[in-house]
Amino acid sequence: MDFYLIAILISFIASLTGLALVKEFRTPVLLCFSFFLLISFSVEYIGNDMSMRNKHTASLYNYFTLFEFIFYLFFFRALFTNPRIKKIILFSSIFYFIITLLNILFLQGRTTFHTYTYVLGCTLIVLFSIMYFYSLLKFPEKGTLTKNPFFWIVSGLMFYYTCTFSLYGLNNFIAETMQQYSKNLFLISDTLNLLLYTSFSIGFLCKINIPKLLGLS
Amino acid sequence: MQNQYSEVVGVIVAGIFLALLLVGFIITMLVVYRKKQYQHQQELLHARLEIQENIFKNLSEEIHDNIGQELSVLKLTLSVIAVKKEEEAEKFISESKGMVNHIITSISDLSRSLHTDRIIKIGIIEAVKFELEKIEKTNLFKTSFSYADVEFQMNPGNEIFLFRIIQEVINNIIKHSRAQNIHADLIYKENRIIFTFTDDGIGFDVKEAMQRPSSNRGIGLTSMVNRAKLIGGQLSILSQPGKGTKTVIEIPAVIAGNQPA
Repeated sequence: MDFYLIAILISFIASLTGLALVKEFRTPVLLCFSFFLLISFSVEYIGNDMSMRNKHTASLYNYFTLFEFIFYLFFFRALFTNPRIKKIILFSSIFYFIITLLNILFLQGRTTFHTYTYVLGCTLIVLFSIMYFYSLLKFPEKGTLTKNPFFWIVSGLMFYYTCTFSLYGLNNFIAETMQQYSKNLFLISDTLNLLLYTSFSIGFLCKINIPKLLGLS
Repeated sequence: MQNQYSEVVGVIVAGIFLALLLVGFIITMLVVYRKKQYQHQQELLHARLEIQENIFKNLSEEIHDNIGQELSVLKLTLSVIAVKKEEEAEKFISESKGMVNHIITSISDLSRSLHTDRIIKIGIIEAVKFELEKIEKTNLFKTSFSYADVEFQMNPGNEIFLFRIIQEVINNIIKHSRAQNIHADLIYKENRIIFTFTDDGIGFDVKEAMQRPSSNRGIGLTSMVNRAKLIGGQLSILSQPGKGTKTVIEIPAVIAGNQPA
């Protein structure tokens, strides 16, 4: 099993642990996130298995990344309290869904990775991440940021999508013209996945009082 | 082989670089957030103090204009009641007049302590003198106040905040110290004024008091420390059980005429 698959599995287990031990985590958004991690693991596992057997995975990842972006956009919608921003995110999601579907079905095709709309999705995620950090700094709350699960999740998302913006945006080009670099670039992508799912894991575990759990305090 | 080795190194270096970048981002964010949090708390405290000052001002005006006036009318009414000196009622009226006089003085003192504009007008030294004289009148404490003969200037807003901190210090002495003597001292040193309040009371464990929840210590020591910080100063308390208490407040100020351009 690839190491990034293990990272996803760990983050799923971390989410279950967080949900079991921290009462305030049992919100619809974090419950959905945990379920989303299970889906991510399943899809990535299938994708990994397909590529091992030299099967085309573009179609799988086209639909999965569409679902992934829509999920993250709804995750951001749940994070913000400002109704105007919520509305903007809702419209962005609908717009993104339509545009991406049109791209997959009619423009880039099902068997080619939807690079154009992937870049658009990255841009939206990075934009809303920046907005989240801006609102965090503008209206700071009590308590430390390290105990805020959303801070870890959004940090991971922003970092991952800033870095994969060009990596996956040029996916088709790299695959066609620079095959010798392709493997290395996707190793970097695995590293980014590892960092993303590590930050998710920290997010779900950040509020667990370990000394209390171990009976040390 | 050599080529493959350099590729592996390249990927590892890139991975480490990305991880460091993420860690750097998180650390920066945590530092900036902490700064913003502090700034936000200061702003909130500032707003709260401003609201408090407005309430004090309104309260002071209400006391002076309404209650004070009604008491004056009551005093006047008592004076014009026609009774002969030898009548029994005269004794009660005279006592009542004395009580009304006392209430008028107390209320007037309270009104003056609360009124923001008056404090700015008379200055911090006179305001502190007035507070100490007020305590002396109770005959429960002996007070003294020594101050440097320099005229300094402060931002009026800061002067009010400083005065409210001093009021809180004095209030704490009255409420908790069981002291008999209170000494206030004001010196000017390197663009700072230093107020020191010393009492010979029972003292207390400063560390323990600072850790107590705010509900157990009124407005609280931490609040006083924060207020002093808000105006660029600092407040420190030196005390030990049985050894009295010394409170030092240092606030930036400029000698009159020495203001920077």
